[in-house]
Amino acid sequence: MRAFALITLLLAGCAGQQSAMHVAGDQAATLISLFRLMMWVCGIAYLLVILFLGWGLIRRRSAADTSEQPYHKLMAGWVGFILLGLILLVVASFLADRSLGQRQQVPLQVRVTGHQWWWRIEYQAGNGRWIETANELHLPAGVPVLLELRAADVIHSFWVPNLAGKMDMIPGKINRMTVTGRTNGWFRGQCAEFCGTQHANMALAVKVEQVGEFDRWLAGQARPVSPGEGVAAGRKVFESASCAVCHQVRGTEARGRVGPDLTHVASRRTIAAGTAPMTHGSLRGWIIQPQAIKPGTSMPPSDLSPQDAEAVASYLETLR
Amino acid sequence: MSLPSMRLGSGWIIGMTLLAGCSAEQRTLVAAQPTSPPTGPDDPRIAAIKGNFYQISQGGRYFTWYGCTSCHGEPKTGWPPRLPFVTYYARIGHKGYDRKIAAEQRWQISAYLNSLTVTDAAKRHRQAVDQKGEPTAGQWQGPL
Repeated sequence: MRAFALITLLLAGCAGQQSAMHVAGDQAATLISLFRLMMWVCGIAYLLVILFLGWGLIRRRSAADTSEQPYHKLMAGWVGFILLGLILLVVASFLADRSLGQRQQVPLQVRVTGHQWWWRIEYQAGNGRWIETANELHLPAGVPVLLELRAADVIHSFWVPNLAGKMDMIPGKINRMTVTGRTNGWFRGQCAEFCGTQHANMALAVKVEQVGEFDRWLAGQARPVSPGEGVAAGRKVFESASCAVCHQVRGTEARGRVGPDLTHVASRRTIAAGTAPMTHGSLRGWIIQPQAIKPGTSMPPSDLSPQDAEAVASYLETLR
Repeated sequence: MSLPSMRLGSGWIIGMTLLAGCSAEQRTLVAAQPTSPPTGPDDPRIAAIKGNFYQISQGGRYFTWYGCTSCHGEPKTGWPPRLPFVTYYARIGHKGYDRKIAAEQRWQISAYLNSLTVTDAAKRHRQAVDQKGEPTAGQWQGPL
């Protein structure tokens, strides 16, 4: 009994943030209704099988009785039920797939690129410009958003169970899916195709928010860092040391394109794709020895002095 | 030995032989990566990294990521020249790159350069195509 209570409590912890059962978008709603239908059809079939088995056991014939007792009507009913059930499932699955695959004119297009082991996220800003961020996807509630899924190195898979099903991200190919967030809140996405040693630490924070709030957020992300913004000492180290080789801070000398865009890094909830919370301590630890926090990550350790690392961490913390 | 069991046996041997190849891709996943330059041509780490496909391919990625190709171009026949490992390591540190490229990555890039001198043109081309998908390669369509 106690174990049961414990398991129930533990499972309750799964609720919400990353669960296909807690629907927060139109596509997930389509999938959950398909799932419910399947549960009903298969559940009834299972129940019937168990009932007939029990019935057969209770009414077993004596060893002497060799007469055939035909159950033609019953058998025909059973076959009919299976046929109808399967046809129902096939039709429902076809309709669900068709509605998921429908391409509609969408006001917003977002490009999500899977990297070992983080997500590059770019919002279309009109006039051919894209606003770049990483590891955090914001979606306006009630607005269909077209996601353009790509991969830079190996196969990844985009999966935010609260919003939609999985879709693979394949190098050299562009996969497209539409998601429409409905419920405001934070959700967790996760790479769903094994992509290397840190596959587990490739999480995606997703926020569905009101349109106005979303527009404010996007305008904030579009803004480059103004000259003189941030801790000057840290900025100088960031631009002269190896950081700027791979990272971009728009509006400054740092123009690297390999790693995540850090223009508004401190506005995110976590660092390194959900590996550590966004705190001064994790930033500093990450700068000095990322291999200790996420072994195998492509970010090399830096040979910055403790003072310089401290300065860079303070600088990044001001980039909101 | 009967025929089926012989088949089973040879299958097992082939499987084991194939698996033995995996050790060439062994990767070290700890914070303690090489932090010092090679001590000399006889440094045992040189032989280990030269035979490790994972380290070599990581070297190829960093070669692109650190922008080596912007001056040196794509590797081609005759470039890089065949040099001792320690010379590759030393030369990667030119023009202040010794302060920008950490020791572990210099080891990996050295191993990559070394591998290029022994791979044929077809394989080099395949490697170049692989890296085209990487964010800094020419075909990247993201914002710049």
